[in-house]
Amino acid sequence: MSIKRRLSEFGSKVQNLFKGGGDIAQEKQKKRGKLTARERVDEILDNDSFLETDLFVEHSSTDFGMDRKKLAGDGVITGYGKIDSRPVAIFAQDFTVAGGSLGKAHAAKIVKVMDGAGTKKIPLIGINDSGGARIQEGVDSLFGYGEIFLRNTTFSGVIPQLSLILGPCAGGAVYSPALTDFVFVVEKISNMFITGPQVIKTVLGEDVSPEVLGGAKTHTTVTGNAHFYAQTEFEAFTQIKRLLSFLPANCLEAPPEHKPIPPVKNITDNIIPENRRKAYDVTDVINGLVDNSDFMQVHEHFAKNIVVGFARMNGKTIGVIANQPRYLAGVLDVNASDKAARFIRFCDAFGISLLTLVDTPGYLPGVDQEHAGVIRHGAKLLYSYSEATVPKVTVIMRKAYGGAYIAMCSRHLGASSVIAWPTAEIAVMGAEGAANIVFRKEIAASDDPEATRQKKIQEYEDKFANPYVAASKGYVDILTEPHKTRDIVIKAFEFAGRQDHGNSFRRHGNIPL
Amino acid sequence: MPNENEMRKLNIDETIYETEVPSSFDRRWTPKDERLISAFIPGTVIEVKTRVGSKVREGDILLILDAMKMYNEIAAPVAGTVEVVAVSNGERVKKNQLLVRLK
Repeated sequence: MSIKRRLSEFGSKVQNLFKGGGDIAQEKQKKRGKLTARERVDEILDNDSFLETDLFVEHSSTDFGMDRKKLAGDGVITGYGKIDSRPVAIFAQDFTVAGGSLGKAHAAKIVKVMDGAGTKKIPLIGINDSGGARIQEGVDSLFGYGEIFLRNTTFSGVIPQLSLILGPCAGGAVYSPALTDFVFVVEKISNMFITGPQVIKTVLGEDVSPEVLGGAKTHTTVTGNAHFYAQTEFEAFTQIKRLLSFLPANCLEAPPEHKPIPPVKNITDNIIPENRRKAYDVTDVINGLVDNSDFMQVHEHFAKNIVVGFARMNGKTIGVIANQPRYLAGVLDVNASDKAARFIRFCDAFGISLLTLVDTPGYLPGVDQEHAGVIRHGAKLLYSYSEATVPKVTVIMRKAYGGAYIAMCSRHLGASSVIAWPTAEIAVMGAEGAANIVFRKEIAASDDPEATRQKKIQEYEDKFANPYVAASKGYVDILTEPHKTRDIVIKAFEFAGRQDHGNSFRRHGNIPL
Repeated sequence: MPNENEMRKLNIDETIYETEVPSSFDRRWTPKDERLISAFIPGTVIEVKTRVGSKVREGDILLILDAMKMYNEIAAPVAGTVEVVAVSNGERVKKNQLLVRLK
């Protein structure tokens, strides 16, 4: 064969492979409101930065007529590229090729690019759009999933792993995204479940739509399986780029530094309402503290009584954890504990300092919470704060009561600095509850119990609902006004080093799960 | 995502806070009446093994419920007399549907 013919043969092979499952299938994909796998990769990555690998990989399956079936790229696009000029590894399942089903060769391509991400120590982005295991390949597809899960786990805490769910992701397939650090879902496009609506209908006789069972809203509000909700695929891509701008490429590298920009609006001293039982939006405080008021929430719609996310102070990435008085008064509960603990552990793994903003009345009372295991889940928060070796700065804005005070990165759990505002109330419990216990006999014996009760509440409040008792014992390091807090937090981070618990010989701790 | 709740009152340790409270918070826990035996899973009743008026001891099998490809033995959680048998052989039942009531 002449060189000219060889080249033209190559050209037409590439052209064919680029068509994925063919024109009709691509049209169908677009009619579903979805981009094709190749379009997705191009949209996420910097222009012309994609270096594709394994385009010519083929499956070697022979059962059920598979020997006569050619599957372009075996249904997945893999390779490397850049986002904001920083390298990443990427794979995108192609639903137009045999429904994006995962067979042995398909899995081997993903495994190869994962190993590449691990050795190059760069973030991994996985785009999931697959009907599940390729049934024709039998247990080989199960082997494939297992190999992927193993790598998700071994690279956990080494490189950031991001999963985009841009189509169905069902059965065992859900566990790869679930093992990664952040999951992105898109309205009307993403579906995640272990057993789908059809199986539920036949086995249990229950009718449920895919959207309600495992759509984008369900996973960002009810289950917490996904961290970021987007209306469109493009919005999700923008979220991915923004998130990566806060993160280091791996656990050995420092997060990228940006030029420090002051907040759009500084916080004023009257940010806390006059009435101590009134709510306010803690994101106003965060936006008033961080560079350029640029705060990216993680799990924004899940367990809204705690707010977590990434921002920068003095140009350096920090992770923010803040009670949200606006929602459920900012109580700690099962979901809030899980949400915060996972975020804290991510930050600690990647050397991101922690800023904790405290205003919580305590744990949510109720049989439901106790039966849901609030003890076990709440313990995760204590564990992850205590375990974290990154600089930890805590600002107590208002209520810090009882066990919740300890849990919210107190001095006692190893905070580098604890700062409090004059409005802080650091006490064993709220004035009402405490007065009823401490002065129970006096109140009962009084001629006017209600008046006595109010008097005693006031007494307790005057004496204990402030930061001075805790500061007098050195539990609070610094007292300051809200408007000076940004400068003080920046200094506190500057002087805080990485902590060493002296336990590096252990294999790993046993976090309560 | 639009999800604006109105401000409501929430009691934590006897302090009343004004804050957003999700609707799920209103579904309060209620103690379980052990004499009401309902389906823990949707399925099909294969065989009712008791009748109204029967005296049962704790652990006696009341009926067999076919669900998740398994024959599940539904036993009396407490001793008592069968007051109501709400299902019959071959009947499909929903989750939480009443099967038997004891007295």
